[in-house]
Amino acid sequence: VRNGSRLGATVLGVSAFLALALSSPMARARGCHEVSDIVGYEHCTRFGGQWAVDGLPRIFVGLELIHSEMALRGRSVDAYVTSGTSTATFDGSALGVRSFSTTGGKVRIGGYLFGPLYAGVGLGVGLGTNRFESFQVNRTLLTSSGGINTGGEVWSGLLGVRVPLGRLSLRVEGDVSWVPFCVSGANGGVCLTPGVLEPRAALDVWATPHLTMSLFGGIDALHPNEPSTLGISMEFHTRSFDGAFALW
Amino acid sequence: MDHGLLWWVLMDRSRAWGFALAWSMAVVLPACPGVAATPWDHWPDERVRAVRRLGCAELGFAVGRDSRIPDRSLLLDLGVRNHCVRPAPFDANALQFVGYDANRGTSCPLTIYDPRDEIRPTQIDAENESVERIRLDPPGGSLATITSVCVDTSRVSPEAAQAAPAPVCVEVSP
Repeated sequence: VRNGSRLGATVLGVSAFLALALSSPMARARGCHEVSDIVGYEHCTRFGGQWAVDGLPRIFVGLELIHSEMALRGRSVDAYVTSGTSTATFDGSALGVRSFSTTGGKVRIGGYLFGPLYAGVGLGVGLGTNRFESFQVNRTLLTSSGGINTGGEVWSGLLGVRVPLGRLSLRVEGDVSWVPFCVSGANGGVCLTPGVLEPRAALDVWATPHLTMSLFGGIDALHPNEPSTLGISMEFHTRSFDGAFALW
Repeated sequence: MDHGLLWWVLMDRSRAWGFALAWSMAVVLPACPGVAATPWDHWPDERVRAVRRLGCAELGFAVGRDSRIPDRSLLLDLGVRNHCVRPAPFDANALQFVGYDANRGTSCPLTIYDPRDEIRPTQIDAENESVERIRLDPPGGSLATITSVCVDTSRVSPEAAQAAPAPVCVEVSP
């Protein structure tokens, strides 16, 4: 799979994910016409539907803006040639650069399992401009191109713990990602399909009882000496303060 | 660690400014009026004038007539608000309503119309609020002469039971 088609597929995937995440409220809004605001006469809503907690799961849906650095040392890189079937596989350190970077967005959705423990999944895309030292694959010279030449996707699962601190909260989570991406160049390019295990820390500010703005950072557990991820996010929560405002 | 995240951010001026701006927005935005803090925009409105604070919960009441319900029934606007950052228990079924005529000579207990058994003991979400509209029915006869309704709120929650509040009385609006 080459860069363009992969990116297209990723955008489609993210769109489908977003559509799925947003489909139920939209469907409800379209499919049910409310006829009254009086209890017992309402068709679409029930008493307490706007404010009662009972039975309401603790779910969150968020959008992250992320800048990621993918360290290349120790990672397997596949080089491909556009005009043929030639490929080569080698260690990323041979590319002559320390890391590839991408900037992009990710949608994530999750819920609390019990107490402060939550789990979720995420799907996103990343773009970037990266360079690598020119090299040959079967007599074809590969050189990196200018402009936005990097496209990839992010599939992730996460498990974390939230510490409520009033209007702030601190989160520590483990993020397991599969991050296939390619850097295209003249005559071909290079692709990576790395798995990343990333411990993350995040600081949330509750803008409203149902909305958080967060700053987060993560370190690739397999490359702890390299910068990995930094980002901001905005998240909607079904329960006020995720059900807990303070530790006590 | 030879290169930390802080170094990575600071090594590029535009990246550093970008993140600083984004994070400042995240912190400053919640402080802007109308953006953060709980807006309390559902009530009290002009309908819900009589309010009673019961610990974390605050209830507001207004009673009137409405062409969408039977003539003999009344329509209650019940404002529900939780001032605390934790859920507050609330049982609307424990509200007790009594209607009175103009000179308070005649009284009549009123019951909540709840054909689907929706109203159950629940908890008001933290810093949340809403208004529910509920039909009140007399056990029999007409309420045409009823001009005010008093509400006993003392049993809606453990906090209310402790506070033992006096009944809230509201005039029936036309």
